[in-house]
Amino acid sequence: MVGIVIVSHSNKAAQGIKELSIQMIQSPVQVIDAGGMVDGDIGTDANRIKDAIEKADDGDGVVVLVDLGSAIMSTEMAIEFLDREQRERVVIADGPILEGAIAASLQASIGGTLVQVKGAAEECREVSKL
Amino acid sequence: MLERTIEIQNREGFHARPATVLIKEASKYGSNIEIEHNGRLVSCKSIISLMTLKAKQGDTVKVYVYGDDEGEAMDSITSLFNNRFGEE
Repeated sequence: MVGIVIVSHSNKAAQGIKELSIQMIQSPVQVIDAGGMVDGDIGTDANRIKDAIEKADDGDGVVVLVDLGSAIMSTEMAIEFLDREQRERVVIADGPILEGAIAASLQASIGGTLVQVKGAAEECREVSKL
Repeated sequence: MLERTIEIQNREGFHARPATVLIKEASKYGSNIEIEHNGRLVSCKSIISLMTLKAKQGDTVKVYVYGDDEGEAMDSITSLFNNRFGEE
């Protein structure tokens, strides 16, 4: 099953989005949070993200949801740290982190491919809330 | 293609959680399943669109199912709506 990693500057935000996704879907799905710095400060940490990706990947790949700015750079760096073979099945989704995480988790839980799971997260950009 | 009009019975309407249940069920069938509400036609493959369908209690939606297993798919989808997607 495709895994999901949540990268936010805030540890609490990443944890909360993970909790919400898991609670909403209520089926087995691998969602790992990688928010904040090791000491709990606000920020993003490439090593923490790398560990989360490795934990989330069972061989089917990982879609990473990111918040802003350096979350993207740290995630790109984390992907660089991975083995070449694993790197090829890890993608960053260009979509809103919360809605994207829920949609991606649901798509993963029903057996979606890496492309489909990433697509589910990115589709959230296009949908009006009101 | 099968078509059926169904009333939303969930007290809080058709929101994210019922949408989640519906998408999971729809994924078990090969048929295409689409829901129409308020002039908007949404595929069950489109997760976020279905979650933002915003049908209220008492509203009706039209369910369209087409494909090899459409009969079975329509029956299971209809019973989900009628069982309020497992909610109170």
